[in-house]
Parts: sequence; C-alpha cells; structure tokens
Amino acid sequence: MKKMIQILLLLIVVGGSIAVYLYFKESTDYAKQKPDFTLSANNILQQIDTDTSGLTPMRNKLVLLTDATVKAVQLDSTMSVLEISSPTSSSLVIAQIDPRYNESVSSLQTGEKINIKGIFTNLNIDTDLGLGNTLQLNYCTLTSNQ
Amino acid sequence: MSNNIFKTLFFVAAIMASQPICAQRYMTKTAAIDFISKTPIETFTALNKSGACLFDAATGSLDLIVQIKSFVFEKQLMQEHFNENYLESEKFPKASFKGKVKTLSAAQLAKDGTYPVEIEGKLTMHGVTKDINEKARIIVNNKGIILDGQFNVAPTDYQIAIPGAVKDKIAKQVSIHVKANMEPFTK
Repeated sequence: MKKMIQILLLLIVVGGSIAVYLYFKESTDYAKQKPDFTLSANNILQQIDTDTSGLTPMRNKLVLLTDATVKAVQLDSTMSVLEISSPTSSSLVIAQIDPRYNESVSSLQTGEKINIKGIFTNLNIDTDLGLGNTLQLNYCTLTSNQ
Repeated sequence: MSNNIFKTLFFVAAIMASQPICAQRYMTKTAAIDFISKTPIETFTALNKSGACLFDAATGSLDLIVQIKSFVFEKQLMQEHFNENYLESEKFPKASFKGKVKTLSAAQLAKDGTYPVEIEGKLTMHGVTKDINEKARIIVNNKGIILDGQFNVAPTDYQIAIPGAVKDKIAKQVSIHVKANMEPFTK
C-alpha cells in the first residue's frame, strides 16, 4: 500500500513537472538550428513571381535566404521587420525578426546584403488588395552562410 | 483685369496641387496588429507586424488583412493553442477588416498633423463577420499617413471557444492595437 502511494506521488510529481515545463516553454529558438532549405533571395522571389509550386515543400520549414537585399527596415522595440526584395521582382519577403534577436537588426541599412533564416509561415498570392505577392518568414535571425 | 486672371490661375493651381493628395492611395505590408489579453491570473501578448493595409484617400475606404499564423507569442504552447484550437488558422487563415475612415477631410490629408477619426466597417475573424465602429487617429506627415487605433474584441463574439480549464486566464475582452505606417501607392 505504502509503495502504491509512493508510485502515485512520483507520477504526480513527474506529470506536474512535465506540464509546468510545457506551459512555460519559450517558443523555439531557430537561430541554433540548421535550415531545412537554403536558396538565394533572388531565386525565391523569382519563384513567387512566376511559379510557386516549388515552394510548397518549404511551408512551415526553416528556410535560409542568402544574398538578400534589405529594401526596408522597420525597427520596433517589441519586434522589428525587414522587407526583402530585388529590382527585378514585384514580390516581397516580409521577415519578422525573432524578438529575442531584435537588437541584431538595429544597425541594418537599406540596400545591405544579408543572410536571413526564418520559418516559412505564409505565401500570399494577393488577389484581395492588388499589393503584390508576399512571402512571410517568422522567428527570423540573421546568419552567416551555412 | 490682370489681377483677376492671376487670382484665377492661383486658384486653379491650388486645386491641381491638392488633387494628387486627395486622390492618393496609401499602403503598407508591415502593419502592426498586436493584441494583449489581461486577467488577474495571466497577461500575454501576441505580435504581428505583417498586416497588409490599403487606404484610398479619395473614397475613404480602408482594407486590412492579417495572416493568423504570423502572430508571434512568447510561449510555444500559447501559439499552438491559438492556431490549432482557438483561431483554427488552417481553416480560417486570415482576419480582415473592410470599411471606411470617416470624418477625415481632404484638407486634413493635405496638411501634416494628427486627426481623430472614426472607423466603421466589417471585421471578419474565425469565419465570423461583425460590424465595428471605433475611434482611431490618423497622423499625416511628409512620408505618408499613419493609422493608429486600439479597440476591444470579445472572443465569444467570433465563436472562439475557450476551454473551461483556461477560461480565467484569457480576457473576456482582448485589446487589439493597430498601427499602419502607410506610404503613397501608385499602382
């Protein structure tokens, strides 16, 4: 009987610890992870402009864009955003910076070339507002070539 | 006589100069739509800086579209519950507002300043559309215009079911803050 109570208590403690861990677990830090896909920013912009079928496997995956040209930087104390584009494309990549790495983009300038990694969250083929197609990357961090 | 001609020319020039501003459209793809839920037990925020917003100064029409999956939370479990259980982002990937900015004159749009406005229209979220009428402000500057507003939304109004276990941790009225820095859009 005593042993049963001990096992039960142990289960409660283990279960409770797991629940507390899951509840307070921060969102994943992708800066430390290897990308699932690596391609140049121009390549992905061209695919968004012309044929998006090759982008389907990238959805919800970690994507590294190389040689990305910063079109605009919107600094914000909570979460900054970068716009990435190229002169030959009408599409845009919107990169929401992981708030934990917000400081890393504070000195970025328009026109600067960067490598940026983030989760491929949305691809909007804009038929609603006529503002052009947009790829959204979340939890983005600047990175060196990998 | 020449004085009258000069006055007429000046009047015509003034009208022509103001025309592009009144007829202009403004847009951004990085509108901030953040929300905060505050209860005595827990406070949490979600950030989204990738809303698409289009304002037509000639008609006053305002469109705002936000992707639900783009909301960023501090805690992973909250983000999962938000997408999978509450907003069901696979089924309802977007939230949108379609309406009008009222009480904003062409003269105000032509002059730098901060102007209180009324925004009226339909907010669609989680597959439910509701009329909303809220106060906001428009800031006109040399780069374009900034729409800045805050309003409350009740999750139950949009058929967002909150399970009993976390009912006390999620506010009955969630505060939504919208800030869209829009630039002239010529397309």
